Amino acid sequence: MDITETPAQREVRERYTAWLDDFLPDDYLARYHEHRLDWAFRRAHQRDAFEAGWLVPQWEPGLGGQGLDHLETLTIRLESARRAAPKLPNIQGVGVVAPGLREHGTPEQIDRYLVPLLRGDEWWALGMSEPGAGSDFGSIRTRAVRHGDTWVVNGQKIWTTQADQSRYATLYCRTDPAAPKHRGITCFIADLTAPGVTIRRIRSSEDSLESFCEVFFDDVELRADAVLGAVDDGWNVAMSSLDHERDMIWIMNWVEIERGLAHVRSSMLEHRRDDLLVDLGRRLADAEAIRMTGYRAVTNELRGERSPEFLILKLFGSESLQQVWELAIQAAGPGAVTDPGLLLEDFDALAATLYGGTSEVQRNIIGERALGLPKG
Amino acid sequence: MNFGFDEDQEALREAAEKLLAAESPPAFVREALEDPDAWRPLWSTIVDLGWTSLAVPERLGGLGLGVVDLVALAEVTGRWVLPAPWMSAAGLAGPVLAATGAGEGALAGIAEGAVSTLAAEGDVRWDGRTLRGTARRVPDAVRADVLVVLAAGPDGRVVGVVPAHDVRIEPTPAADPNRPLADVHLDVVVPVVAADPEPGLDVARTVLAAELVGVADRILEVTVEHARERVQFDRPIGAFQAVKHRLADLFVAVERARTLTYDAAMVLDDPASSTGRRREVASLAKAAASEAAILAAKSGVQLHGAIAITWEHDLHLFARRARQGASALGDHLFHYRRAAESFLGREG
Repeated sequence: MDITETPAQREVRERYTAWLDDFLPDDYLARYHEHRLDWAFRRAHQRDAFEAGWLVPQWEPGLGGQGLDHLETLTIRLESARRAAPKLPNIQGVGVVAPGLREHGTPEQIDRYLVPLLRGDEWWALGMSEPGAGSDFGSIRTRAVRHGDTWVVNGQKIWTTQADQSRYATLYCRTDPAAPKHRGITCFIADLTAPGVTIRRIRSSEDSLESFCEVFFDDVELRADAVLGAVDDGWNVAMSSLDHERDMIWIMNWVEIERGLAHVRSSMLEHRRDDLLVDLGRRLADAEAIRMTGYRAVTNELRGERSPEFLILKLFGSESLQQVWELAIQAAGPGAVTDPGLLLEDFDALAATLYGGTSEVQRNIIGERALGLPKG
Repeated sequence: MNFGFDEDQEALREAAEKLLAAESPPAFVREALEDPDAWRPLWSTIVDLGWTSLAVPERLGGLGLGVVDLVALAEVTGRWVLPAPWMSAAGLAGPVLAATGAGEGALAGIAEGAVSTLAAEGDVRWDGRTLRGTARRVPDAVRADVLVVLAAGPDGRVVGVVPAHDVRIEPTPAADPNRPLADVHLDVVVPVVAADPEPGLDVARTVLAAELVGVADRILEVTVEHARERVQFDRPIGAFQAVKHRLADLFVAVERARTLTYDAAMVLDDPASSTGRRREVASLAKAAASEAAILAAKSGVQLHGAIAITWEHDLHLFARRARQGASALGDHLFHYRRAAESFLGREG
């Protein structure tokens, strides 16, 4: 075991920070909250990161990467988080859809969709949840029926982040109603501008940076080449997509935890609150443990060993994120309820234990996949 | 960065797991609770295997290895609740001696198998000539040849090495009789070294954390096994979410503690690490491991049911070590607070 960076890790990290320093304006951190709302700025960051090979560092040049290994890639992702680099404006596109496309797409699909997605020219939404199928994804009822070379889709998706701004969605439909519920699902690439698609924004209880939508499909026609992966194999496409999503989310959580800790620190330096020290210590332990468990998991992967600790990161990250902002509110004192910025963080943190698989579903996954407990 | 044990460390862990599964199974640990000399043959074996010389410098007859090696082995000793005083000698006394330079002879003695321990708590003072006062809750003092005593001197803290026959040892009750505790009364003229014991204590805390991770890990393992096999309401209880989720949360707690313990060991082995960083990671590891071990003991008993509160069941063997280790050298409240003070730029 060795905590020191390898020369290769250090070299790529230094190249990355040089690139990032060059991209970011000098007042970036001082005006972080304005930059966070500046979509044009965030789009420019994605485009430049794509060109420079920092967007998906483990992929090859031309696909937003430079062929880094797992360890170097994690180093870059954490460095980007530590530096509070601009969040990708359509993060589920790069984080979830792109790896799924690469894994399951035909050469033609990859050719057509991958680069515009990675450049941020075309945004993507994830068409999974339905009113009757949240955690129980296998219960989706949106139907796709085949007529020759065409599939006709009818149904409804909900909680679809950024559907109103997205050109495409990965759309999960039931294609074999007679099959057991986990079979008979197919993943499609759906054009959200097609006739028969209706998108309605859902008003969130507080302002939120990302839009939240429901999407209706009325006799929407998809061509046969819109199928992603194999017909009736959508369950497997979805499961690998959820793995990518968990992988994306824990690093997002870690960024927010670090930001929350900085907030707590400045409050506690302003007003001494010794009653909160133990809780602060707990959250410091969380932050360090999340980051280092990520490294542990990657080390195991590199050694070709099973890495069950990887499965804890989504649950651990999102639960800890919520606790950190709870602590930030306590540290701010009674005036917290008059601070819109803090209230927004509090609200955002509530969603963290829902999206990408609820904490309850994560505990099932850990129990069954890491510990080998029987399914209920 | 590399988070894995190397081949030698893996080999050591495998050999230790095999040895302790054979020589220190729960039935033996249970018997040892009521037989104060049961540990002695096992002690000779592990001394012969070099377990006490791991982190002793080579020039003093040791293997000259680091904190990661101690942690690698301590985790296994925790899994089997080793009743011999390896932790007190190699995990607690040794690192403080090594970090303070208080007694090279005593350090060489640890490598050779002298039973040594650390007296870290109490009100012992040094007046320039005499160590006087009472050290509290000293582990394995009744078995020890040598005590490493921390005391307050006129100009700061001091460390002295005291032969056990020069002090009065008063056994006290202990949560884990396999690591017996005693109050140690001192009134003895000895040379001391003026040194801040904290850097050495931070190593000791990290090794203790590794033992607690091992305890928690083993409880999780046997409890998962039980949840897979025990049938109630026509299904294995592990299929019920109330049980499954409790075990998932325990798994998170154990992995959190394990990661922080390995992290601390690496930071402590890296000569470039700052004092503040060493303090912070050691505290995070000890705090997380203490919490994980206590949570494991409670969840383990709860999920095993009434059988787990019987003498014949193994759970109390682990629960005892969890409780005693969690309180030693600062509990989780102390260490979370210490890490927070450090984060806020206070010395704590």
